[in-house]
Amino acid sequence: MISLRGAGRVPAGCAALAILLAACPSGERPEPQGPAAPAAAPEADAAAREGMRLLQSGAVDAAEPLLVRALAARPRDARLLEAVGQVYARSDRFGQAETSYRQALEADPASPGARLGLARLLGDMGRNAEGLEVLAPLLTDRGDAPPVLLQEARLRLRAGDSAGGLKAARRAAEREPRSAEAQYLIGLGLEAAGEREEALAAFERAAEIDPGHLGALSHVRTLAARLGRAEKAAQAGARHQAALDRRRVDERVRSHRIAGVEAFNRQEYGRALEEFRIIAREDPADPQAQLFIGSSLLALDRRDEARRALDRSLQLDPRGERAWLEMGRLLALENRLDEAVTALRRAAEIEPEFAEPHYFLSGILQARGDAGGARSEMARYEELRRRTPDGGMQLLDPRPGAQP
Amino acid sequence: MRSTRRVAAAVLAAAVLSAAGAGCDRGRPEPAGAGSGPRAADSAPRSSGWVEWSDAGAGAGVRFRHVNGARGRKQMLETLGAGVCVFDADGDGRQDLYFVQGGAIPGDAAPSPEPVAGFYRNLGGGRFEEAAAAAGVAATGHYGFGCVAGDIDGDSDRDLFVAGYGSNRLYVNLGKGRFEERAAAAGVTGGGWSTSATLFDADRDGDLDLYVARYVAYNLSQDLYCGENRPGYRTVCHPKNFDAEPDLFYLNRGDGTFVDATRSAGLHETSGKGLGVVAGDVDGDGDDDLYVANDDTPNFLWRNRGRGVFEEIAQVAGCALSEDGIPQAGMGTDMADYDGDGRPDLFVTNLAEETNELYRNDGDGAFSNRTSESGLGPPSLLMLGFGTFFFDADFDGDLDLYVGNGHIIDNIALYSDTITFEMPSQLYRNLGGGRFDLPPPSGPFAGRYVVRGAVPFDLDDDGDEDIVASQNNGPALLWRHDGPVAGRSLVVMLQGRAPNRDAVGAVALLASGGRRQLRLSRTGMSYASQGDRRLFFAFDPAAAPYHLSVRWPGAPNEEHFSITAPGPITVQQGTGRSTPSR
Repeated sequence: MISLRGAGRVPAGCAALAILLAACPSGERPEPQGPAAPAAAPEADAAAREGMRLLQSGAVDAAEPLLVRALAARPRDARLLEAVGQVYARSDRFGQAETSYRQALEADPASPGARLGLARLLGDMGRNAEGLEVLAPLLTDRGDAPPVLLQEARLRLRAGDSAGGLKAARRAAEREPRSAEAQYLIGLGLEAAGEREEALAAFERAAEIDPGHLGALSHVRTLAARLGRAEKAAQAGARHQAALDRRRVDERVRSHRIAGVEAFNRQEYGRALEEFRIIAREDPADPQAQLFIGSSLLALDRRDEARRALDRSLQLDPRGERAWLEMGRLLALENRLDEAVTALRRAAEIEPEFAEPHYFLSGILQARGDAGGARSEMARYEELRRRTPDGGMQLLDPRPGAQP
Repeated sequence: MRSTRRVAAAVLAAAVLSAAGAGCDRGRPEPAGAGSGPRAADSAPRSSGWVEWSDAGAGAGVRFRHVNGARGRKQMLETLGAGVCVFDADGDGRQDLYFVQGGAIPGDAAPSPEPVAGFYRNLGGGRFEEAAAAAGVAATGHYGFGCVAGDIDGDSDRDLFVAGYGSNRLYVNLGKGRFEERAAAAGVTGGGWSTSATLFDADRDGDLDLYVARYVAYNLSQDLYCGENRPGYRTVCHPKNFDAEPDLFYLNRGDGTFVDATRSAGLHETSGKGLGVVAGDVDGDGDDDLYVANDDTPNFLWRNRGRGVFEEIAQVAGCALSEDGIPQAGMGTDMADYDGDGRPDLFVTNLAEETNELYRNDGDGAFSNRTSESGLGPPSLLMLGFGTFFFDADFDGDLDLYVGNGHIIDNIALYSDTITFEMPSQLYRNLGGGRFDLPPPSGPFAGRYVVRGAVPFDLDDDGDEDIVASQNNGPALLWRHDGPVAGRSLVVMLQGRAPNRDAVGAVALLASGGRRQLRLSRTGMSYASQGDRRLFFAFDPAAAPYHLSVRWPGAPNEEHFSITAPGPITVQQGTGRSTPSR
């Protein structure tokens, strides 16, 4: 980890779909049910909704039985098949994951999430050539979407096609210049081609965008040393070590993070608070733990304590858009509307794709009698919500190098 | 570049969560039986009719069976298996075999009969005779992992060091292959959990020093539960649950006794969980460096700054981590020149869902990660590699690569529907240009095993390298190379000056036209093992004469011209034309 910048995003497995859908023109989003799906029972709908929500929040084990139950009622539902594929892929049942993704594509050959998920899965099993075959229709239909291009770049680089990987990564970077992963993959392609200076520059850009990017920092250290820049190598080495240390802490506290998020999403805020405080004791420098403590305290209406936790989170990560959002909510609850608007606008500025700040801004502007401004913010909120499904409190995927 | 999901890291981490009460409703996956393994990864079978192999174990008289003492408590000791060493123990000119034994977990009652190490005298003609007790190397009551052999006391025979849990053993050769245990007297008893070792002349004073890799601080009385909290799902714990145990370095006093010089040599490092170690001169400065494959922690490259003082440079040199900058689960390692540029490269086996890593020596003190470009990455993703070594299986002049696989979690089928406990070994073919492929498996390569230590070894002295491997809690493997060999190999036995008569640390380069074959004379390698000390070169009569250059440790290079015929030769130090050495 672990930058709080990702705290509002869905975990890696879900994010690919979310981001890809964001690239879809309005109205092109796949229908949730496959053509052969039977009429869904209300219980199946409820199980599907809750299962999806849990999956997006990172609670894979809890999501699985709900999704499987829903799938039993709607066995041709492409989105459910894709979600179940994600569950299997994230729990090392690659064979079942492949089957689910392929069934999802049978039910809806246009499903970008299933196609991207399957391509990634095949790459993780070393079947890069097959992954590229699966990805090919997306490259034709949505070949400008950064997630598709990044996946293509990864598969080509892993297969030893550094030129092809470099080309795809560069196209992704053109579309999304602030993608650390795109810059990192460009660096890998350039390094494989022997272009060390250019590779170093790309890795440095990746590390600037994502200060904890282990791969980028590792390559900066090695390349800088080879190019005789000892000081830069040493700095990158220290940053890499710090990022590794943070990763180890994340591994240690992962059970508490999951338990806390699950408790929060069940509205058991006291229990959630206990779990997040364990994380904070283990890693006082974890801004996400402080944020979640603040959110839990806010839910318990313990505002002073919540403010201290959110202040601490923002000290640790001044660009934590979730923390700014929570601070905005807190200030709004205290009727400090100007400060609330400032905080919420800061959240939206940091992460332009973040929907929630606009929802709360709309409410504040409505309360102030600015009906036009409120409508505008709500429209922005609706637009962003269409792009990125929300899932309550969400876990960061603490895996360095996890795909966006 | 790829995600860092790991079976042992992620499955076990999730499993530990469950044990802690997070709960899990996951359905039980179908067990992956033989034949239900992963589909082919990239660079999998593209051709056939390559080298043929056959199982030679029972017919050769080698019936060793490793015993891990497992009793369902999933102790870490049960999982790592042990190594095998090839060395001429009795001075008859034939290479004998030593298999390290585990046995009962310390503190448990020993089974009857008590498991003993496997020592097999080579009778010639590919036949062996068991002789552990008679030779005094049965090692009962010692839970061993790795071995290394060499002449530590300069008396012209090879002594045997066995690394183990709790203590090490040093079997001093009394002559004619009879040994006496003298670890305490020699000062190498160690302690903690030693796994692998290598003998090499660190300070170029002529005698062999000893580096011992150690794993984690593991207390058998600490009954840590890992895995999902339901019957049958308990697993061995991930090493991240334990602190690393620093490796040890012993400097030879010259008389076969040692002094712990770990700190004075600059080799004290507390962050490595060592499993595999190999020595060799990676920077071409004339002394041996060390490479250590660490589990869960960055690998070490100890650069010898001269006179046996080292500095750790792996991260700066680019051979410590995965391409994505993450420490992997290093198990076994080898050092060899796979691309024919005259510089030794590095290879490390890792956990499933990680790639094995190939680090190419670029010659400027740095390595570049060539895992993807070489084609060695994808086929390793669903494998868990341990023993590994480069050798020229098809005698085309470049080095092919063996990887022995087998998971550490015996009930992995409960957690994964793709990754299996028993796995096939892999024999990668060097295609030239830095690329490898994986020809279709045949003979014993079509089976599944739980390989740990594995080394090359010409068991029948026919001029090719066969394979000997130890399985965890299973029978030893002895695979005979049945491919056409006659007239295609030059087998070089180096004889150095006393006390390093086995010329450990020598580098031999065979050249003809523009083609060069580099071979290193070393001891410990692979995982916890030591291979045949003879150096095997491809020999094409049409390309003769060949020119052999030997860089003897701490002495001038010597050139041997006009080698016109294949077969075994012995090259003695001082018999070639001297040339300046670096």
